[in-house]
Amino acid sequence: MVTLDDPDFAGTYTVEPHSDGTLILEPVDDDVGPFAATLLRRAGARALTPEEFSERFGDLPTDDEG
Amino acid sequence: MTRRAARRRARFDADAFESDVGRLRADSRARRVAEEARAAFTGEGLERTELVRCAAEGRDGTRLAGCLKAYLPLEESERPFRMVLIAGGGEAGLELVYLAFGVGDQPRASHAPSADAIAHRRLHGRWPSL
Repeated sequence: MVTLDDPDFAGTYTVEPHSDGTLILEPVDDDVGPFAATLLRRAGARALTPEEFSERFGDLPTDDEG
Repeated sequence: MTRRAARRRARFDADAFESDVGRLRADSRARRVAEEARAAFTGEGLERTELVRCAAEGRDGTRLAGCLKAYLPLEESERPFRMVLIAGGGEAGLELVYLAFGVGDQPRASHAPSADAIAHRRLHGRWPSL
């Protein structure tokens, strides 16, 4: 992790590899931990498209909470 | 010959899981349920019938399209806890990735976020708003 003091970007970041070979800084959110995009990337995965999700899970019941 | 239903393992990021579960008391039921679920989901995996699709637009302002949810503990009739997973595609095919753990409904006075709210925050970068 790196910490930046720049007034516009102050905060703590994790350094994550991007698919194009560059490195990107992901803000560390102390409240909730890493964001979904980071979790997927760390798992070597990408988000399913709505069509892919529906194809695989469209038959499952929908949660009635929320 | 009986055919056992296919099970799929989930993947857990240590930082995300620790963020949700590490703050819980070591002897709490919530922590025990979360850790037992992680052990089961990374070991023997989950059956499809143990999951429901999260609502794309929930009444509480959460938007969790593309996510799945398990009511926990799986084997009990009273299941107050929730684990939200996000479905992803990887080189090995479908991946189920841990997104959040918490209770289904927090008492409003507690000001503590539900599993859905934490999942929404991780997906969209902000807390849900009604």
